[in-house]
Amino acid sequence: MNISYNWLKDYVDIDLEPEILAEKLTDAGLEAVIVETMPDFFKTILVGHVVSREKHPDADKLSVCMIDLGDGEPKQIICGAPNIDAGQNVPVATIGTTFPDGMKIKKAKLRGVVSNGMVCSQRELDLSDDHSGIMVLDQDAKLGIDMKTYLSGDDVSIELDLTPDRSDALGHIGVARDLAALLGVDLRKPSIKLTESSTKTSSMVSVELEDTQACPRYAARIVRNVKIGESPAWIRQRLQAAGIRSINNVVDAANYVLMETGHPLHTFDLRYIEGEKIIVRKARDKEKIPTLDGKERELDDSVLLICDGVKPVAVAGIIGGENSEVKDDTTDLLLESAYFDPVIVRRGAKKLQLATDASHRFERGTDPNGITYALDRLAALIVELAGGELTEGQVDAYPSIIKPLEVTFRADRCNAILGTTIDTSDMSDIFHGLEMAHSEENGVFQVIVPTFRPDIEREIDLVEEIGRIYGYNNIPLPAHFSIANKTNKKTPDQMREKIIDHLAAIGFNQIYGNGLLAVEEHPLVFGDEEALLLANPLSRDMASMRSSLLMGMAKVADYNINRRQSDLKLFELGQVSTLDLDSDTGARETSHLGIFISGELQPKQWSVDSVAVDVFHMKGVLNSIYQDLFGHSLLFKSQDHDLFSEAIGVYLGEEKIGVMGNLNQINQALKSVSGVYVEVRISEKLGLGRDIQYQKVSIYPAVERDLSILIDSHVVYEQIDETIRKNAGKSLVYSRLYDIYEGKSIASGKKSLTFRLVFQNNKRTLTEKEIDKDFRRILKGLEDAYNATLREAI
Amino acid sequence: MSLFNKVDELRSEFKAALASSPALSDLERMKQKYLGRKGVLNDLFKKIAEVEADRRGEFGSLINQLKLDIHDLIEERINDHRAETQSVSAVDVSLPGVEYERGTLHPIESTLRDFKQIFHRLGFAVAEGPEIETQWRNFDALNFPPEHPARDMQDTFFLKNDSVLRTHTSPVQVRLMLEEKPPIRSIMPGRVYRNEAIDAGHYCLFHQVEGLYVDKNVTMGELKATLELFCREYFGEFVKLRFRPSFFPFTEPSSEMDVSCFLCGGKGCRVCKQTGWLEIGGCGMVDPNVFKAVDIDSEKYTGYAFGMGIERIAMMKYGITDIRLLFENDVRFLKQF
Repeated sequence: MNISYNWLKDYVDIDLEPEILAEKLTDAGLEAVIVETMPDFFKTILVGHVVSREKHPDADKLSVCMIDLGDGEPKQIICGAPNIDAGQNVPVATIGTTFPDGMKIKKAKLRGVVSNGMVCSQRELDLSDDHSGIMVLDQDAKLGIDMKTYLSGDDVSIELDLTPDRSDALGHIGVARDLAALLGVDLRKPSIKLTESSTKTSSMVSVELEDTQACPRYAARIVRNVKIGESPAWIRQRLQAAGIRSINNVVDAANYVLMETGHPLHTFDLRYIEGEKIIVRKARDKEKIPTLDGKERELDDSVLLICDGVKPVAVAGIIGGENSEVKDDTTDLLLESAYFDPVIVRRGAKKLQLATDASHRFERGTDPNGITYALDRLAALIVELAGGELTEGQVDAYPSIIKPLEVTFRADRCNAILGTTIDTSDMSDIFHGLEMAHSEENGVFQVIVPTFRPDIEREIDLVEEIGRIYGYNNIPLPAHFSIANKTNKKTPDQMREKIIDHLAAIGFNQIYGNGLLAVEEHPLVFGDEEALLLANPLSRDMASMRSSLLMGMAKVADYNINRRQSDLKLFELGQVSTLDLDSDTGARETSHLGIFISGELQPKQWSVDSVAVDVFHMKGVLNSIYQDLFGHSLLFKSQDHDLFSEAIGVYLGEEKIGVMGNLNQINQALKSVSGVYVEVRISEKLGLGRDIQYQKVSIYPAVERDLSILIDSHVVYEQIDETIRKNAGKSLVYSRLYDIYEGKSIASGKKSLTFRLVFQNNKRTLTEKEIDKDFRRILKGLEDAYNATLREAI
Repeated sequence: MSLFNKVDELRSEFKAALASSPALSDLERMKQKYLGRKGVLNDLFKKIAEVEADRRGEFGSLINQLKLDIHDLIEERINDHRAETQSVSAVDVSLPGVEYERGTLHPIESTLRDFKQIFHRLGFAVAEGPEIETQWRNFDALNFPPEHPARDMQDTFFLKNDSVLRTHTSPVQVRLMLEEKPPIRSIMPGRVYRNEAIDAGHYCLFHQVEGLYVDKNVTMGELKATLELFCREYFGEFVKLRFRPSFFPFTEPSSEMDVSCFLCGGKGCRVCKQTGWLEIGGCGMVDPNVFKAVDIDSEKYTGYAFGMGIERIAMMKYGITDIRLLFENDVRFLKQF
């Protein structure tokens, strides 16, 4: 909403620059910025007086005008408009003006006669669609001022970005009230003088409220014999600053009072109101009304209607009907000022998919007790602008009076919450400034909360009022913090941080994937996931919650591989969710870790051999997390899986926690993706880390022996490793497979494995003999179990 | 063939061998072959008896001359080789070092870590909750009236069973206050969802860090001081903070917090849209209705809560102008952090 700086001054004495004023309002919760509402090119469009007009010697439709731009030296300007005439004041685009469409005004000759500018139509100034002739300005306009000044009266527009609770500030008086409280000055509301005829309004129209919940109050007045016409400059300028286009004097008056009081009003053409009555009722199912915007609206009972004795004439609080609209030939008016329930207006606006200045305010809550004032103000203004006869009295249907709330407010409680030491007299001043009547005894206030503040119902709401007028930025900062003396719970967050840090430390890039996927994008990684579908997705490709991290990861891999980044080491640790009818949300969420590697392990470089990644790299990465970080051993079992070739199930104890393997093509769109992928569920059972107990490092020398065996190909590593350890004795401290070979020079059906064995004792130096004995025992074990033979040294 | 011819023949044979650019090892073998104790020249010398007596002196000096020539030529070549090898093995220090690829934390993660670290120092624990929530925890318990616009389909994602994708991490506050008794002092980081069209400034999901402190005598002054200290730690010592009254259903009084623009220092620039201020989050005192919903006595306890958007702050800090970059995960982007 835009407000006018000059307009505010009607209600409160301000001695502040507009920028400072905007800052004060912002600090009090009415976020304000100065805005330029008029286009830049208005600066060179000047008010000129047509001193003379003569026909162009060589063109029938052109006139040669002498126009005074205020400097007393009239300029010759050619004009093609039929309505230009001597004595008019007109907007002149002077030489150098550039219009928004790029057109530039230059000194030019038109059919041999020099022209020093252009007289503009309303359409050329983007003020309306009128292009029938040039725009004629007010007779008393000051010559030579630019259009910006002419239209705004040198005003400044302030844009307010209001929070939804502050419906009271949706008009100038409401904003002025906050200023009055902030500056400690008085608020001046315009006094109204009405001259009424002897005809009673109640004799001409009655009001029936069928639903007093939806419409607790409806007031009406009648003005007869008005003359519809243009509004005076001061009204137009103010509406302009508030961002409202001038229509005619009656509509402008209603908009003016709206922008002044914040209360929406409506004007009907009385000749179309049938049956001399207004009925406020819910719409019937499929009932129709033609609205002011030229549409026919079909309604249901979520919408409240204003009807006459025969038909609906307006949608309550939202938009008027076309059938009762004020037109140029309207003479008699019915003025409406009513209070509608915010909920019914919100539902209605939603049903009609329509947001108007009126619905915006009714939805947020207007003042049921401000109705009379707004109605009288409108009546007085219409009579002032359009003449006419005001009938006597309002017809005011208000069966059950809405009373202001009385709220108890404790000064010490307020200071305790804010952390302030504001004294009661300062609090009293703030309440006074906000027009809240109150009494106080021993620091306890009884505050009458006016009905224009529907946001205030409780003591705490008044605490905020004191705080915001006192100034949040004036609340002192304590020098010390109090920190609760309480042990913090260990959370899985710490466990996840460990994993993330570890993966980053060993060269992986963390990704954050989108958690929303197309319904068909749920590759079954675990096989039992049932994806959760959104009731109102943003788009088809984001219509469900991810049930695994695979699809997100594959999309990221695809994105990068298509950009020639194919050596990837990526991981994501995030939440996935699946259907769970036992949970109160219908969902079960688990932390998953997805890791993807592709291409070469390291970038190609001059002194390092490049290695293509495979599942054993991934196995190593997983082991480093589970074993090194958390002290858990993983088991790997080969399995069948649609998504992977060489799929391997990952087990923690008995529990299957994940699956890994070479990723098969997931779908046609992701065909560039190839690499090794693993996804595991991260359970809180992992704990927060390995339990570390120091082991004494032996001071006695370690002895290395290489064991090279020939063994049947089908014997797996795990069996061999187990046999070695079982037969090794206590001195074997380390055993690592470092070569595996099948092929030339090896008998078919056999493979050669070479282990590096390290022997060491904690208490003494081992003798060659002892080591030989261990070594032979290991070999014998392998011979016995798998018919292995020692491979001769080459 | 005379023995004299044999000497000439050996000479030409040697010259041919030398002409074929022998390697160092070849030269060593040639040395053995020609000059060794059992070499061909010694063998030839042993046949001196077969030469006519008057030409024996001539024969001997011829062989000696050949020996000397071969020796010199081989040594010369060996020296050449050594010089060459030495120049190769002299280290070219300008060769690139072996590259150890560094892994990276996602910028959202690293921003989150910075936050956690500062709040950890201020005695805040970390609490978490699910991304899918009941409407009660996401709205009702947080004092959103039934008709609140935030409950519209335009703002919130609903599941088919009427659960919602949490629109803020505040339901974690509700969980926490139901589970624990005051004092409660925690931050709540997490992913949240909003049903809004995706563009450079908006994404359908983002991350928040909220904070909650509930205890006896918690004041708004302390809330301000806590956030101000946080901002000085995170943005720098000279940052200024501004609190503006605002409206949230779950706090009263409510406030927005702005920091002075770190790019222009408050003078006004492109980043702060000429205002000199950057909005970083909302805060306020926990509304008594929220305490009522979780059965905490609001006469006995007060509390403050605050919330900040991670993406927004990460974008400000790293100069990222399009939020979508954060979820595209281009490795050339990721590796910059």
